[in-house]
Amino acid sequence: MPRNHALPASALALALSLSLAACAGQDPAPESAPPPSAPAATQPAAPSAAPSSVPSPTPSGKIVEVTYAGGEVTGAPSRVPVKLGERVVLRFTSDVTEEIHVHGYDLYADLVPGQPAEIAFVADLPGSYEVELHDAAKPLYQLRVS
Amino acid sequence: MILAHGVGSRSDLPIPLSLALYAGAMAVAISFAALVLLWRSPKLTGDQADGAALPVGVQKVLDSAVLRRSLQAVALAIALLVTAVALVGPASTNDNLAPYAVYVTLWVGLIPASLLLGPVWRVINPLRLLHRGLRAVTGPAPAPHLADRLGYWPAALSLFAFVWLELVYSERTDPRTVGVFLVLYSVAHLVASLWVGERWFARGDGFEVYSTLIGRLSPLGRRDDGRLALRNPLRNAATLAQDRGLAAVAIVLVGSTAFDGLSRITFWTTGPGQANDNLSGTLGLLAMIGIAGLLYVGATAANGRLAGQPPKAQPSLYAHSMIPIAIGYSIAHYFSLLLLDGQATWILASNPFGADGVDLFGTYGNAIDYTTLSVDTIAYVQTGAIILGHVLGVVLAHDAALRAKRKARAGEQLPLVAAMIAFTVGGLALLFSA
Repeated sequence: MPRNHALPASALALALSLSLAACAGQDPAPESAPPPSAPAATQPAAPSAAPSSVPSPTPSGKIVEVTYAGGEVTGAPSRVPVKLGERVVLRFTSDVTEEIHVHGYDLYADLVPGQPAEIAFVADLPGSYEVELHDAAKPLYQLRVS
Repeated sequence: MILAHGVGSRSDLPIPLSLALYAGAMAVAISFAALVLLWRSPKLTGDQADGAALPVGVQKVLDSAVLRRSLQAVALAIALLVTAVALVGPASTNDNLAPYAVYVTLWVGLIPASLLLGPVWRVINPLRLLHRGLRAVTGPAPAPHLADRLGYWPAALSLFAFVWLELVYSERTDPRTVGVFLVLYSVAHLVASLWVGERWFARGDGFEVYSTLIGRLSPLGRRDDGRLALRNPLRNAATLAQDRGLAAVAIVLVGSTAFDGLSRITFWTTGPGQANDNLSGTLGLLAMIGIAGLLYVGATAANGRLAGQPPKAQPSLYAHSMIPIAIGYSIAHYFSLLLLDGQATWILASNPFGADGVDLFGTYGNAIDYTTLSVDTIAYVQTGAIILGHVLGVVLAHDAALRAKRKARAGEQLPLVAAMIAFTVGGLALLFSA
């Protein structure tokens, strides 16, 4: 039987194609096309994570504000794109007493009806992280950090 | 926690569109190239005395009963510890190592372990040790013939039970749930093995079959003459005994991983899976397994009809070719989980019961390092795993077709190749979807 070269040839083709695919590079994830709304100007020391009733100067980075009322989440898409390394401010208002939990970054904030809560951090971990109401285990949205 | 796989604080980002398209196109191109270029007569079976045999001394050690019993004893001790921690350890998932140990370290860790070392769980299965102990008391098994009659179907059922727990059950991340499952699973399989004999584990224990099937793609195999040898993994896979129910096991694995991917995308979480309860999850899981099953059975039956062969025999002839696809899917979906959230098992192992001031290995204060893997690495590994699984599946299916009918033409293999392309493109689509 003649020596069959098909398997090495196929393996070489596979290797070549894979290296070509590697040159395809990393496209931005499809849903991250719209740029963040806030200007990227640098700011002095950022406001703390405590709820504030005084309007503060616009912080840099990504701001996500949601309202949770009657079991419905409004104010943000279910997948929120965030740039890696960007400063993120998450604001919540709700009609129930709850606890906000940001997975991965493992951040918590208490939520009291009528009083807005805020979590501010730098998104330095890549991946997709769920932000949820901890006690009810209800997801609010996912942060897509890339 | 809502995330589909049992535990986990993060998901992977969708893979870039260009990567998905490249990979999909490659899958199609390689499949057709394989059909046209690959060998024309079966090459993967036949000469069973192949491969480089391991030295006799090494084989004596690896096959020795002393080694197996010791490893099983160690595994049993660890299993008892994990079960104890699950049932009476810290109540919060974040502080309890049991969910991480079972859903990540064991379930996902068996994949690389078996790919490297062969049927690892068969060697260290603690239930086998318990069985031997009990058998000494109860005497010989009354129904050993059932092992052949049932084939791999009990393993398909056990695996279904586990993936249902892991992906659907609303209390799946609760450590107590994991503990109860471990106890019930062990009792069920011990009772079955006392009825059917120790062979039950090789065909009925989901974890052992999982490890054995994956181990068939490792370079370590046993030749017909009983010698352990390093051989071509494709030969290893092609010589897998085609007992009934083998395809069912592969289908359950592919379907469940597909459901894991499905349950994280927007279409599901805002659509059919909105309720996020046991019913919608169970239906979704059954649907994905059903789709995978229909695709596979339909394609193999079509193959058979084109080749002029009895359709009923077809699914088991090709079952082993679905194993690489199942492994590719699992690696794509779980490899980052193993390397990232899997760190939690080792962190929490320093203080299994959450007692004050205990830090056995000095890791208790650590946090998981999510920067271990870059997004690019994850995307390439995911795509590469799916493509490689596809390529191996096509090669194995091609050889199986040649074994079933000499000089099988490329056209007669088209249905199964098309089905595999569908699995691969479907797998890539799940990875790509938001």
